[in-house]
Amino acid sequence: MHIPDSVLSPATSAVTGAAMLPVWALAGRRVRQNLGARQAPLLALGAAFCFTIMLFNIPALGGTTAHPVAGTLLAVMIGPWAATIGMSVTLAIQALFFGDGGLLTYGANCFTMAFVLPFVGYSIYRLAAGRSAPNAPARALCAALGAYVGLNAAAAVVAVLLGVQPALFHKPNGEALYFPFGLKVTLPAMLGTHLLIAGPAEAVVTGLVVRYLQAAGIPLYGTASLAAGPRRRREALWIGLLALLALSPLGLLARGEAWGEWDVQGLAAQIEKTEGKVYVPEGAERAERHGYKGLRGLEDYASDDGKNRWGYVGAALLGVGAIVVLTLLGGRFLARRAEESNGGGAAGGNGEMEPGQPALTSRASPSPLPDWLQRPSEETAPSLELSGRPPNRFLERTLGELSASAATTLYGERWARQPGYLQRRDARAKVVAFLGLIGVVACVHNAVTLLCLYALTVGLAAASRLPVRLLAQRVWLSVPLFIGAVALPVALNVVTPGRALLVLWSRPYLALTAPGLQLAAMLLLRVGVAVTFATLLTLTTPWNDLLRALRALFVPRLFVGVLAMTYRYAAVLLHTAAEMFVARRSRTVGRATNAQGRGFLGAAIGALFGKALALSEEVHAAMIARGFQGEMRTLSVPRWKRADSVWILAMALAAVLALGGEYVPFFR
Amino acid sequence: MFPSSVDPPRAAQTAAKARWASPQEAAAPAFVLSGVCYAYGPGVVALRDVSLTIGQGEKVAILGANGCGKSTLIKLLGGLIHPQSGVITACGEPLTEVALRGEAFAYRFRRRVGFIFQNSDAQLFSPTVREEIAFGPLQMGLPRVEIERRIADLCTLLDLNSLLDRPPFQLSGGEKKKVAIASVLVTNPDVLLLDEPTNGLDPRSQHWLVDLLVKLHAAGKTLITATHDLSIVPEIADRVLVLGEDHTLAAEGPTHAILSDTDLLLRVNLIHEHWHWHGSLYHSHPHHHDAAHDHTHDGADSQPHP
Repeated sequence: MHIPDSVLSPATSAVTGAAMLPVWALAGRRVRQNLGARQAPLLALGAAFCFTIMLFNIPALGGTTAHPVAGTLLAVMIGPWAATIGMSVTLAIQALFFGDGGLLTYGANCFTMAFVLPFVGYSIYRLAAGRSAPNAPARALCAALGAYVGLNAAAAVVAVLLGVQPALFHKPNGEALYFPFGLKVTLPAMLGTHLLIAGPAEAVVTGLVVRYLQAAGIPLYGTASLAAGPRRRREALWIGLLALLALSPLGLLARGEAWGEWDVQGLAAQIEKTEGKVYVPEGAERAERHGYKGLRGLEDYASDDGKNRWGYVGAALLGVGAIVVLTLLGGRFLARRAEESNGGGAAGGNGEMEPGQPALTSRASPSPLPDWLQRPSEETAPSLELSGRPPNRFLERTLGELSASAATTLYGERWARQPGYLQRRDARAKVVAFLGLIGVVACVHNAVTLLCLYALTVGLAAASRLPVRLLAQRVWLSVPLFIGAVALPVALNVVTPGRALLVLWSRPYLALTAPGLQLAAMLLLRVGVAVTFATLLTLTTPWNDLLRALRALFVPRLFVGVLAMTYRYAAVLLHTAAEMFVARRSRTVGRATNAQGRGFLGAAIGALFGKALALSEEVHAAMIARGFQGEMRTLSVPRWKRADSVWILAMALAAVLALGGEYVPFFR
Repeated sequence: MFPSSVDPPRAAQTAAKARWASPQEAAAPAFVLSGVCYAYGPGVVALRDVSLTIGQGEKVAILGANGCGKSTLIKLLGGLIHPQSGVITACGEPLTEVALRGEAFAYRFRRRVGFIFQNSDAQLFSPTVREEIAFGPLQMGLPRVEIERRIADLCTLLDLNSLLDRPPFQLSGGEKKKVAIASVLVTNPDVLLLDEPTNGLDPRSQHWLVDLLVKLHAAGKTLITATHDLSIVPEIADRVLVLGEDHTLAAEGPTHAILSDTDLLLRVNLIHEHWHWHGSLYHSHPHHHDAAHDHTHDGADSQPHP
């Protein structure tokens, strides 16, 4: 559900980001009112908790697995406002560290997952649960329902954000500038996967966790006041929020031509406007006449005369299938890599219990140990049927991902601490420059310019002594996972008509087309270049410098403070979660059913939340004991060097060149 | 045998008193508790009617079995939780939730009293070791130059120089404890509250920590340690407070008197029946016989006590 960079137009990113600003401000105020000095540790642990469980794999329909997003769960546990901040922090760490979701699209991702998801989920939960007792089993069901609706609402908003892109932002010839599919593809694709696979998994796990918390006596948000006193009127608030929610996508309709994307007439008009002369750049005209018309086919689609409807539905289903296949393959690949890097360390845990081992001690005196405990372990449990199948994939995959994330968080700073060009640059200079360049990548629609920008990243990587091959692998192996599922159907004739290069199926006719492939390649290239820039930033900047840079660039102190603490406690919770999974694996023989798997995950997540809550209390006490009174004071920001200014200027030059290259005829 | 068994060295005591602002503060004991009760909820009583006095410059151990209220007592002393009934005064001033809301008192109290938590992970919440150590003095508004100087001194004292820019979660258990101690010592508190300080440390680190505490006490600090690790008690305490499993104060007295009172220690479930304290020697050894036994103390299982 994380939208990567340069799939959305910068305008959409800006609108959604702007929509989040009042939400964040309000959330910050509400949280401060409700929690006071306790806010920082509780939010941080909530976010760390979210981050950790988003790495869990839930067994879902037909052997697939899904990641929980946990927005509704967090809202049910610590309240929707705190959940908004917690999820925003989680998303920031995912974007900065793991390349999940883009940097420019951060606002959009927060809008869907940190605002729509927790608020819709929580509203449904509150409406459904009403004033039922804090311990009523119905509450778990209501939370599950909330999670299901919330997740699908968020998925629908993602689909809308993506789906309006071709209608709002296209060249006059119909060629999409950003995301190429309309609503009729994105809605079924997103909702299909979420209604059938991720949604049910999310709902079941949320319900189980709420049950666990009720059983463990950990109060849910808002239930403490249920017994006492009249409730404040909150309905108006919810109605207002829902209205805001419904209206937000309308903000996207404030459309305008993308800068630098005029057609020949538009370009002439622009030139006339700025220079007072009338002429048409010859190269541009030639390019327009002979250039490829790309997604012109989509215009028919957008006007929808029905003749191609099934083709699009087919393409959407293909997209869904591709996502499933790619996720499975990618998961398997990652799991195998994690296993290789673990070196079978986890397998060693099973070697201890060899049957027939002599009892540790044999003494003449009567022992208080029961009889059965003094005998050697039985060969096999008599009633257990061993299926001979490998152990559960969700366990293995979750373990693999937990350990991979732990490795990234713990050892990810290896490159950042090496000597190199980018490593020496001030973090503030890097953040500004790379955000700018990602913005440029989002505006560029010319393969040559994009390749030049990519060459720039390779040069920077080499100058910073980063392993260029490893960087390329990291980017180009992960990008197709998300965007490949989209790019694949783009290359087919049903979406992009044109000269067929490879006929896949003759009846019904299905072929890869030349313009389709070109379009798909462009999409991949743009996302890849944007992700490379983001990766360069995070690989060469120690986390603490990054935080200080954010603080210096006017990100609020509370947010940066919570971000820092989240990162720190994510390591603790990751460790705890991995231990729970290893403990589970060491006691599991053969395969558990999916239901058992989900039950275990529910309990694990509940236990993790209990630990996170207790830890947040302790952290709060530890901060108070050292004089903390609600205002976080930290050490100062490092000094800006002249070389940093040179770097900013150089990158600004590169940006100007890239944007210039967009419409200087020489490149075409 | 116990040259400083009840009273701390006179020099240390004077040094401690010199630190307090006003004469009546200097005269007042570090903590006085009278009739203190604390419960975590209905039916979950942690402390019942506890009254005690801890003088300035003393070193005191709070002993008790798991779950008898040691951590609660030390948190009450640290002003992190507040009793439902009973009164606590710190250096003559009442220590209450309301008093701690006043900035002047909160500042005075937090600077005087340092709290070293059992769980180092909870205490180390900053992104780097350097910021962790700087956190306390920054909140208390010490000048940056002074903070830098103190960090440098502590790094030499505790051998932390190679760790300064590392994130706390990369550290080992012993290193975490060192950083936690540094982050508390940096504000130069007069009273150190330690909750199970040697938990999870290897023998060498335990020894190092005890050494450090002895030195701090000699410099005039008041040490209050909650522990169930009896082997360190003779060194870190001259006086012992024992909490029983009924959450009341079961006994208090000089260290050697308490540790020799096997009946008392058995009654509060701190030791099992095969634990021995023989004057300057203590030891325990696994048993698999129920009959009475006798042995001599020239074997390898005995440790001479300093």
